[in-house]
Amino acid sequence: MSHKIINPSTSVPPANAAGSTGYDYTIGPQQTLPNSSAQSVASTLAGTRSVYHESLHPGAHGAHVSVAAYAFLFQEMVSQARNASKTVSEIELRLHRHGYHIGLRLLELLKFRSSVTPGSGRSFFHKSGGPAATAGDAVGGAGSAPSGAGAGGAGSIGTAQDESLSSSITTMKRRDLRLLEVLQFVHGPVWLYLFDRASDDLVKSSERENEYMIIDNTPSITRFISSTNVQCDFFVCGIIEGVLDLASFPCTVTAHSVPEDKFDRRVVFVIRFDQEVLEREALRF
Amino acid sequence: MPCYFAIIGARDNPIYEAEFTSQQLNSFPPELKELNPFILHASLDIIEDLQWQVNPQSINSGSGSGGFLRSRNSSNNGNCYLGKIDHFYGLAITGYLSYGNMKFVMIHSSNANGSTLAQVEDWSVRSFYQEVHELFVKTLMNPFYKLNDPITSPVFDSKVRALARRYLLK
Amino acid sequence: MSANSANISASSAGSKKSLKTFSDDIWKNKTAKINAELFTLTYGSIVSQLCTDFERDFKKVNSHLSAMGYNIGVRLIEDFLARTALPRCDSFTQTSEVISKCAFKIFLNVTPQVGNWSSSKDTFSLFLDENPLSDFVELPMDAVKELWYSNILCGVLKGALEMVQMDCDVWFVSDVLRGDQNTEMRVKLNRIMKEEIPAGED
Repeated sequence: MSHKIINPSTSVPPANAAGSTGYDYTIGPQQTLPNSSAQSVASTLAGTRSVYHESLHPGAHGAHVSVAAYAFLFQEMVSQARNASKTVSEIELRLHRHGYHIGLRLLELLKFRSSVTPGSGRSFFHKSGGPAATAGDAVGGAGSAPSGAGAGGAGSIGTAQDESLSSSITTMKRRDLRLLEVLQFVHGPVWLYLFDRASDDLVKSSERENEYMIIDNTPSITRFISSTNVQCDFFVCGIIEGVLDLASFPCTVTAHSVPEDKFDRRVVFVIRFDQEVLEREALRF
Repeated sequence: MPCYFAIIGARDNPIYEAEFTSQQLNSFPPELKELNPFILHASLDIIEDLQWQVNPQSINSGSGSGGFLRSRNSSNNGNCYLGKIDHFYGLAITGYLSYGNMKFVMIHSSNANGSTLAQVEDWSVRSFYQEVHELFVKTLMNPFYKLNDPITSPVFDSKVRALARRYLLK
Repeated sequence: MSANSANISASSAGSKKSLKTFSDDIWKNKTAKINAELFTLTYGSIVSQLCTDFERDFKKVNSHLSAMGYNIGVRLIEDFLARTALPRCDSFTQTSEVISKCAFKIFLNVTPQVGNWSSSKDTFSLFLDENPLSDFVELPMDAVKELWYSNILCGVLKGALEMVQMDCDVWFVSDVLRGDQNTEMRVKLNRIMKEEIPAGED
C-alpha cells in the first residue's frame, strides 16, 4: 500500500464536481454523472488541446527529423549533463536517467503498436520519408498490392486525431514472460526503432548465468560525439534498462568499448539480471 | 450494472479509480462501495500469480474444462487480458495487465441485489481494457508524467468514462 | 531595410516556389534522417529533467533552454550554410523565408508560416502548425502559465542569426501547449552587426 492515506470512497465531494476535475487520489473514485451532463463535460473538454487527442499512430506526426538536428540536441544534452555534474559518474548517471526515461515509454508504446493487425483499418507502416506525406495517404497495410487499395480507402476515412489504435487490434501482442523473449524485443524492435536496424548480436555470457550481451558494431548515436568518451553509451544503457525494468526484468546494464577489426567503435552492452529474475524463470518455465 | 475500475501501479498504489454508474442502473450500495478497494486489493495477489502464467485466461476461466484448452497453440492467445480472475459474493472481478505490468482491475456488480453472479461479457470488457490501455500509453508518452503517479487529467477521466458508457453500461 | 524591401518582395515572390523545391530536394535526397519520435522523447526528457533540476522555477528553465539553443545555433549555422550553399540574404524578408522554408524544413521537416510583419519590417512571426518538439506533451498545471516548452528554438535562431551578423531577439508569444490558438514565435532584428560584412556570407 502507498503511505498516503486514501479516504473511504464514501466521502465523495458534491456530485457536480465529478468528472470535471479528473481523478484525485485523496478523494477516491468519482461516480459518473447522468449521461446528459457527463457529455457536456466531455464537450467542454473537447476544445482543450490534450495529449489524449493525439493519435498513437506512427504516421500521425512527422516520421523523421534530420540526423543533424538530433545530433545537435544530443550533444547539447551531453554538455548539459557535464556542466551540471561534479564527477564523471554523475554525468553517466544523468545520461542514463535520460535513457531510462525513454526506455520506459518505448516498452509500452512499441508493444502496443505492434498489436495492431496489419492491414486492418489504417495502416501504420513507416513512410519512406517522402515530403509532406500526410497521415491520410496510407500505404497498403499488409504491403501486398491487392489489399493496398482497400486499406488505403479505409485509412482516408476520418482524421488522425481521436482515432484509437485499439479499434484495429484483435488480439494484443503478448507480454514477454521469458528472459529470452524480452531480450529479443530489445535486440530487434527496440533497436530497429532507435537505429533503423537490429543490433549486431545477442549473446549469453559463458561465465555468468545472469549475464547477457547486446553488441553494436557501429553505434549511431554516440558517433556524433567527437571525443572518445564511452560515457554517452550510458544513454543507451538507460534505454535498455528502462525497457527491461518496466517489463519486470530488473537488471543493470553497462557499456564497454570493445573495438574489433574494422569496427573501432564497437560497443558491448552487458546486461546483468537480478537474481529474482533467474529464480522466477527457473520456477515458472 | 455498476462497475468499479482502478489502475494499480507497481507499488500497489491506485493511480486511477472510477465508478461507472448511470441513472437507469443501480449504483453500488454505500456499504459495498466502501468495500470495493479492499475487494480489489485482495485480487492483486491472484493477478501477480497470473502475470507469469503462460496462458492465464484458460487457467482461470470459470468452467472446469479450462485445462483442456491449454494446447500448444494456446500460447498465441493474448496474455494482457486476464479475464475473470475472482469473485466475491455476487461480484465478478476482471483483470488486465499492460506491458509495463500496470494492473487494470474492475469489479462488476449484477443489477440484482447480489443474489446472482454478475455476468462478464469478455468481448466488451476486453475492448474496454484495450482502449484504456491506449489512453494509458498516451499518458506515459507525456514527458512530465512520472510512472506510478496518479493520473489526474480531467480529459483522461472523461475519456475513460466515455469508454465505459460505450462498452460496459448497456 | 525598409528602403529596399519593396523591390525584394517582388523577387522573393518569384523565388518562393524554387526555395521550397530546393529545400524539399535537400530533405529528400541529401539528408540523413532519424526517427522523429526519438527526437521528441529525448527533448521531453531534457525539459522534464530541467524542471526537476531547477525545482520547478520555470523562468530559469526557459532561459536555460534558450541558452542550450544558442549553443546549438552558433554551430548549426555552419552546417546549414555548408549544406545549402545559399547566397547571402538581401533583406530580412528573405531571411524569414529561408528560415521557414529551408532551415526548418531540412532540420525538422516542418515549414512554419511566416506572418505578422511589423510595419517597419524588422519583426515577423513564425507560426508552428507542427512542432516535433512538443508531440505528446501536456504541461503540468503549475507550468502552463510559465514554461515555454519549445524555448530551445528561440536560442537556436538567435545563435544562428548572430553568426550571420544579425543581432535578433527571439521569443514565444503563444503556444498551443498553454491552451493558445496557435504557436507563435517572434523574431525581431535589432541591428546588422557589421554593416560592411554582408549577412549570410559563407
